[in-house]
Amino acid sequence: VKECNLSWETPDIEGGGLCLITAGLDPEVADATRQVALQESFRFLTASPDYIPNLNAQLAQQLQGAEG
Amino acid sequence: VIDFDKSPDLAVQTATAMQSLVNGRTALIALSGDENPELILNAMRAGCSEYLTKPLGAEQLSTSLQKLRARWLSSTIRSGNAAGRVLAFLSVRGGAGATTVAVHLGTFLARRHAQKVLIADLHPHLGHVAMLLGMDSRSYNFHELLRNVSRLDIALLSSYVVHHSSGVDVLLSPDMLGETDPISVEALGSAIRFLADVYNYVLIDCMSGLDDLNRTTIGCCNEVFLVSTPEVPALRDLARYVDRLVECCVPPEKLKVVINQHGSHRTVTVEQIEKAIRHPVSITLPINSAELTRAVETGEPISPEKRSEFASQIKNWASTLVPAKTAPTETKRRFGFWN
Repeated sequence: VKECNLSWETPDIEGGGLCLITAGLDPEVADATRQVALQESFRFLTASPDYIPNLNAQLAQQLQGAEG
Repeated sequence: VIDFDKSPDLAVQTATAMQSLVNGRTALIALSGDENPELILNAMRAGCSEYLTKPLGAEQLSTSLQKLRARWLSSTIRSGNAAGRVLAFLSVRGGAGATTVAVHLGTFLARRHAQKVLIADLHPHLGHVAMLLGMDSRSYNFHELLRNVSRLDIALLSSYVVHHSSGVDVLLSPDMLGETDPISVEALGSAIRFLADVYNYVLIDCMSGLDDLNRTTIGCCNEVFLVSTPEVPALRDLARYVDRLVECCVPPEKLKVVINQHGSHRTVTVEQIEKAIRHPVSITLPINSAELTRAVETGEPISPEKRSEFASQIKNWASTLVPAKTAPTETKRRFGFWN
């Protein structure tokens, strides 16, 4: 994400809520997606420039805490 | 949101990994510049419920996220502790009889099983629930309630609900044609959740089609009854509805087919219908035009005490919905030598 110069955040998702993740998106598309997500009150969890066929443990934990 | 262009195979693997990890609590959006049906199908098979095309517009994504929010609200309702069951009724063609079916099932549940029942008429204009129940439809209506959902509590609900002599409560449809403000799916979802906490059964009479409001209702309900007549044009439409709803991930067990006006003189059998629509028929209701015409004209639904095949079928249907411990409350008739 740093390489792609994206501004992103990993919000606290305790208590659930709607989160958004992107995978494989071009950096500018991922950033536009992040802005729309925040506008629609979705929490933007992460922007992965690569595909994530094997989810890493940290992301898996974050996802399991999310509601949708 | 997953890009399906760089590597469709890895995109599918990513989608599958996310789905399996969170047990279906993820909504996946595929993004691609390719509208090839095979790619769309692969994305759907991998669990994507939305397919957006490049270049991705903010409005396009915004609409998708709003839909996902509505679906999430619906699933929150389903997994909540709402006491009541929500049943949606949808005619696949005008005149198939969803309103008639909903009104009779509702009144039978209230009269015969003493259940607390609400019938909500979701039609934006000129719904027929009020007419079938012989009620004055010029009072407040369901759509007005939906516009005030942020203030919804028991007191406000009471001011919108109309009580019918059968015991059912009714939220009416607007009685006139005219411009109305659009209803948000969030408002509808919240209202249904609230109503399911208040009533044992909430029966929603939907308009035809699968617009956002109907999709929200279907997402929120426990069972959706697709009402059709056994003519070929109606059955063609029924097959399309079944296909579309299954495509939209409505669980098949939630989808119930009702064949109305089914009679022995019909050339199409239930087996043929089931084969054509690739889905079981749950309920058949007989042709009972004279009795139903009289009911509509007088605004008096057919009584559960009536001895007719139609009444008998609705009675059986109502019995299957109500928990076994709730015995029917009907006036016993005495048959004997001395009366």
